[in-house]
Amino acid sequence: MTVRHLTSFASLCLALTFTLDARAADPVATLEGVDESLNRWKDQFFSYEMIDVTPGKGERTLALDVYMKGEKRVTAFTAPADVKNTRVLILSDTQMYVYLPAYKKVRRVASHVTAQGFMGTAYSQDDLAVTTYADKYTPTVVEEKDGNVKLELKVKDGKDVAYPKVHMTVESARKLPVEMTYFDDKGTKLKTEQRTDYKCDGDVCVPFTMKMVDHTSPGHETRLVTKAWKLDSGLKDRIFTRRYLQRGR
Amino acid sequence: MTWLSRWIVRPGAAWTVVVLCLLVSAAGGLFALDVEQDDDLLAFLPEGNAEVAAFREINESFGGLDVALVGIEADPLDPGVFARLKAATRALDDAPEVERALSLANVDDFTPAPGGGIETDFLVREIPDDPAARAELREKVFSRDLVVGQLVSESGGAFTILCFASHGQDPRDFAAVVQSKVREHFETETIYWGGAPFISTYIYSTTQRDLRQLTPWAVLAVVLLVFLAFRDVLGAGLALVSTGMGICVSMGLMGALGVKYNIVLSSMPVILFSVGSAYGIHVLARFYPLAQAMGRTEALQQTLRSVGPTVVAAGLTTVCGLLSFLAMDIAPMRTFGLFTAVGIFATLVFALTFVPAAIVVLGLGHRRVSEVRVSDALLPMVELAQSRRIAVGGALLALAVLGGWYASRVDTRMDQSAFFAPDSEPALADRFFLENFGGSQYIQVHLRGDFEDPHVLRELTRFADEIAAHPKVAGVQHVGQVIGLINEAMEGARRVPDDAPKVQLLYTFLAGRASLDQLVTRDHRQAVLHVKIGTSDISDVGALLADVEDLTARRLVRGYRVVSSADPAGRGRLVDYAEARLRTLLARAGQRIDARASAQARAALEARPEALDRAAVQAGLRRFLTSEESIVDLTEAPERADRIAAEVVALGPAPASEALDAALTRAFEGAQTFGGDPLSLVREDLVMSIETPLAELWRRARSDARARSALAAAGRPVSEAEPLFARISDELETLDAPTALAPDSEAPDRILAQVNGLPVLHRGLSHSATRNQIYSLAIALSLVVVLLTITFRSVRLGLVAASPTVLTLLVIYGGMGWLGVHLDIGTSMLASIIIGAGVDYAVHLVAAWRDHRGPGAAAAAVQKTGPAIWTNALMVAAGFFLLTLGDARTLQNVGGLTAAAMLTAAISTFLAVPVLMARARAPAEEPAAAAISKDNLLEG
Repeated sequence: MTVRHLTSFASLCLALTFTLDARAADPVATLEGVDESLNRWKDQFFSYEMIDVTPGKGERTLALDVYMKGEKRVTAFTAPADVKNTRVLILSDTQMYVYLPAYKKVRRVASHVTAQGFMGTAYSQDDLAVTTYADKYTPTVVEEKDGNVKLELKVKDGKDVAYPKVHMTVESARKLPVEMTYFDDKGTKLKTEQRTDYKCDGDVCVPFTMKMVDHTSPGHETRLVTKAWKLDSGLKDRIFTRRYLQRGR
Repeated sequence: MTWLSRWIVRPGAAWTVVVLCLLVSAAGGLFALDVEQDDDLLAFLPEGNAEVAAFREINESFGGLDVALVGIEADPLDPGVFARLKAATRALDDAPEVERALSLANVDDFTPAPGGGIETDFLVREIPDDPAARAELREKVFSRDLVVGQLVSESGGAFTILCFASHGQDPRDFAAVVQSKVREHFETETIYWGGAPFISTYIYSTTQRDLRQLTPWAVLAVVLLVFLAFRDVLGAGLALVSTGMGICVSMGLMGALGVKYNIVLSSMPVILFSVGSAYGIHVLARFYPLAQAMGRTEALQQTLRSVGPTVVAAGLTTVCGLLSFLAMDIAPMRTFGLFTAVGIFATLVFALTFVPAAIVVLGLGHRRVSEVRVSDALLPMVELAQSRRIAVGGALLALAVLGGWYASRVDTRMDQSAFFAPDSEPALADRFFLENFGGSQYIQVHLRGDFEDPHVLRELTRFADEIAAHPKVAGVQHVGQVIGLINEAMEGARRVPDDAPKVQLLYTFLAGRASLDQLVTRDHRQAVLHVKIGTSDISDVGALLADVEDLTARRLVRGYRVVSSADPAGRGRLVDYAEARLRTLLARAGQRIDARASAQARAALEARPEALDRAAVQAGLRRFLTSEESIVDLTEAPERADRIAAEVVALGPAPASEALDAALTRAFEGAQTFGGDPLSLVREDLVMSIETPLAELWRRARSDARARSALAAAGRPVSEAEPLFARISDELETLDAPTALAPDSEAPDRILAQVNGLPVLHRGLSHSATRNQIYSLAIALSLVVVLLTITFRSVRLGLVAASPTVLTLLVIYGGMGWLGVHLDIGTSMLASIIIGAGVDYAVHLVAAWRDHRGPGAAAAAVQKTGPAIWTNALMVAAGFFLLTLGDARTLQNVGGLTAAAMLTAAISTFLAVPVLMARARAPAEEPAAAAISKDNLLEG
């Protein structure tokens, strides 16, 4: 047996290992792993820059701070000037409060239209809100390649979701989603979201760059770049109140 | 020509010419494969016209030409129809070609939420099964004034889907996708396709289809006529091949130069085959009989020497006619003129080089001649013109004068009817949208200014109200309405907010909405006011356009300064605004008021509001305190909320902070804490929380009082329970705005306006058509007269040869005036084509007449050229007449009128030339034979 034969044999073994690994992948466990990896935190703070590119209309940049604790979330816009100090408190899927600095008041908005673009961006309110998948979708493995597993998620009966079908590419080792393609009920590709540049603090990892491409509007895409991130810094409950929304402190 | 005739008969030279000609044509054919199709109908908009340039700019900024309107005759609130509407809207929305689809199935709506604040949802999410619930839904839908007349007809029997094209989307692809997606879900309903993408697609597709289907028939008709008259397959074949080679050269040149093929150029084959194929036939027709008498070489030389100059003159006049298109201000028309002229010129060159060279190479000699009898009618006609010169001349002059008089009545009118027939798809759609949605055509007022400034938005709204009062206006859309609507969600009143930061914030919430992009640019420095035209009568549209232009010039404020609302000028403007809004809202509700009532209402609005409803303010404040919007949670303490409301409202509007603090202390008397918080913090929270709602409630009380008194003064009392009262009260809140716009003629213009839209575009196109007509006519006629003068070496003969064409022009344009055919982008091509092709007949007749001279010259010339002229006239007429059999309106007009012109030109030639040539006398032999043969059939 020559060195060449040995190398070939080694390659074959390696390939076989990956193949066996692919066969062994459990889609449900993988998706539950994703949910678990996305929700290992108690509270988080992000400072984002949101860059929206719309063909024929140019580029628009928003800056926002996001405070998260459990299901509650406060988004405070810091730029540009026309939205600065606008704050949004989300307590549930449909319970939302908006503080409008120009109006000096809190407005309660019970929204049932959550699939539309958030402030004209490619991200909808639904896209930004979903943090668990296993409770809503049934996964199957589509392929395994280069250390990633691609799942096809189909909505479970009776579940109300924005996208009936999702293709989710998961980094196998850390169970982190790196790309998600969203489809409608007829299988038409609607959007593709990429989550890259993951940074970790302990076992909690977050993507520092996210990009959503809207296939229904060619050329329209939004990038979400993380400028700062704080994990489990002990955010007070009072942040997630109407008083905080109005006072800003 | 003599040199050419000697050189080309040599076998070596003939082979060289044939090979070269074939190589040039083949190269042309290869380059022709690179020619790209230019589908852009906007390319047909004239250049250098300010109105057309502004139309382009507005549509590039606002995408007005990117909106497709789908109209369907069905009740959208029927469960089955709604389900399909929902599916179709979703499918359209998901298509990459469609930026956004908007229908009753996905239009947003908001209503007050039970716990305070607002609830947003689709206006119609689903159709309930319960009849009562369904009736309630119907009532809700028809209470939304921005939906009724836009997405659903007032009768409820029809609805629309508005589709906005994605950026840079080809209109035809977009229209095709929309049609396919809609048809998929509405297979049995009658569907109407309106809006620019469908209209341009219809014009393009119809014209293209007609040309594709009719051109082969037109060419076949020409070929058949040639065979029938000439009865020589080889000769006719050679002539047709040389014409085909001419087309290859022209198209090849386009390919080499990167010039795109346009829809007008599609008619080039018909023109080249009907006009250009005659040149080769002239050569062969002369050659065959001469070859019988003198052998091939000598016959060919004689043919080129005798017939060559006349063929060249005839060909060059056609080239000149087509080159006059270069004076037009429409790029595709110039391309058409230039490359059709190139094709004619190439065909002419091939007729004088390739055809004789092919005769040598193929060894063609004498061929059996078919005898054709001259029409008995032709000679008597010419003889009559000769013998009764004054009478016939007088009659022709009278005809010319009459034609000229009617021609002066030809008006230039560019509107929809210039492009499609009354029973065509776009015309039916136009009627459908007019009957069900008030129309689908718009006048646009393009404005520049700061549309984040509420004063400018108010002025825009006031100005829009003035336009909306016009009886021929079906509605006006502008950004002020959208801002008002979103402000209602935030502030509770549908009106333009008081300050710029609020407006800026509202724009942010609306970002990315395709419907907003139709009204204002993203930098909010340009806006468009869309005036829906409520008539299809072209005169009414013209009058309306003039009125809108007049209103824009006189009534829209340009220079202004912002002053306190206490300033008399500012106060006056606020009252103007409130009065305009009141009048418009009443008119929209079918309660139009006259000028006297309006003046009385104005007086009431100017007065200080009295008898404010404190109880309503107190109830409102209580509602707020127990809602989820208050930052102090009083939902479980309604009595406390009652007490706070009573204490605070007792202070009156705008209480001082100390008084407010004292009132709150009283409301919490005895308590040290509330909800676990120290009372000082609770009071601080309450002051902060109720500041805006309290101010809004008092303001509402004042506007309600004003609404009551103004409506009473106008004689239109409206119950406060009616939504109309609330709408009026919303708008009257503006009277309490802290600042106002004061017109200032000394100040620089800060609002600039320009009226535009399709009617203005049509006006620009009309100017262009008139200009192009005058320029091309003058140039073509001048060039032809100069060319004929050079050809005949006589100014008089040049003018004589041009006279039948002038008469033809007067008759055809007079006929247009008589029949009410308008001058438009298509018919403006006529003059150049008539001059270019029609003058050939007189060239041939005058040339033959001059050759024979003497008293018998007329008969000889007529016998020699008559059949040729008639055959050619019939060829061209048949070719163009076939174009009238399609659906494209422009082709119908151009085809029919050109066919008529060619026949008129032939008749004019045999009447006008004999009348004008009668004085030319010289001794000559009388021609003997009445029978003619192939040697003079198509002779020139």
